Amino acid sequence: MALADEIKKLRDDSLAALDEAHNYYSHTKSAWRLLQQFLRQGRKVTIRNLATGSTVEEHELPALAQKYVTGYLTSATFQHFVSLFEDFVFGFLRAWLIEDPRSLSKKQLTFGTVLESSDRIEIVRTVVERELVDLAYDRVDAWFKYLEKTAKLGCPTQGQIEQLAEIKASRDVLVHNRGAANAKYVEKSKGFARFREGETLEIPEQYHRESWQLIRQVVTDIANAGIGKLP
Amino acid sequence: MQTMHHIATILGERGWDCCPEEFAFFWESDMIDVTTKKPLYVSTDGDATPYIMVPVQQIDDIRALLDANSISYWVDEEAISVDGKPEVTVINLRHGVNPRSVQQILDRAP
Repeated sequence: MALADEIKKLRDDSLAALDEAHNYYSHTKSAWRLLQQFLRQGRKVTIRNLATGSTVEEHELPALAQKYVTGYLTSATFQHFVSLFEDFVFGFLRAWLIEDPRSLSKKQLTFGTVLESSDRIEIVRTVVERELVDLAYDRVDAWFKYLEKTAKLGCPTQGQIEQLAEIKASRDVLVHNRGAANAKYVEKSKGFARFREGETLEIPEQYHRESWQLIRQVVTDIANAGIGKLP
Repeated sequence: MQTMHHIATILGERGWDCCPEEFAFFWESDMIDVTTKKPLYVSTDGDATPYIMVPVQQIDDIRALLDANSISYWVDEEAISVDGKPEVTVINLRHGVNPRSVQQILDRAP
């Protein structure tokens, strides 16, 4: 597949996945809100979890609904947005570097790796993959410095990069620190830090939506800038 | 009105000097959900974020009230209507906001 077509497909697949994820969030939240409204009308409900053996009744459900909506659901979908964004950025870099690997010409390989490869393209993929695995563990601003060095797209803006750094730092706190902001969060987020060390991270709906919107925008901008540079 | 007259009479006998209109003010001081005619209240079950279910047609008034009292919150970005009834949405109180204080604000609102 030509690189431009590959980037178009990556962009379109990423945007579709982001939209689906946001719809899942919105529709699932609405389902819980509907349940809360029904319960206010005095309906009786019992839910038994056959796996855990737990049973909940109508008087317990409104609080659980609120906890699930503002806690688990928001956090899980937010993390998924970030995951889709990472997939896009590294998918873009992978495709770009495989098409033109000259910037990796000084990378070293063992002869064993060469012998194990079936052809040149497989060797290139191996080198590209190693490069991107190292980059993935680095900070968000390092990703975009690398992207600019490699593809010279002129986007995203510095402001967008810093916002994305805070979004990624928030995601890391949710995944690795049980939702408690730590020194790393504050340091990675710089001027966009929303919480101080020790505070519990919140994902209010407006922030959740704005993060999704920013990710969507940056995916579109990077893809279109890349396509624009190709013959 | 008859009930208010009766209650005003009882209060008058006990030394409370008020007319039905004044009593109506006390009676109507809770902020009312205009669709259910019941007072709006802050739900605080379990350890979930406290919240208020609000008819969409009242959301601006309640937001103005919360803003005037420097209460941090966010509003759900969906509004749900069931069986053709007025749309309802949810105001979620942020961490650190005292739900009792918010309930008092709602209870005292004109």
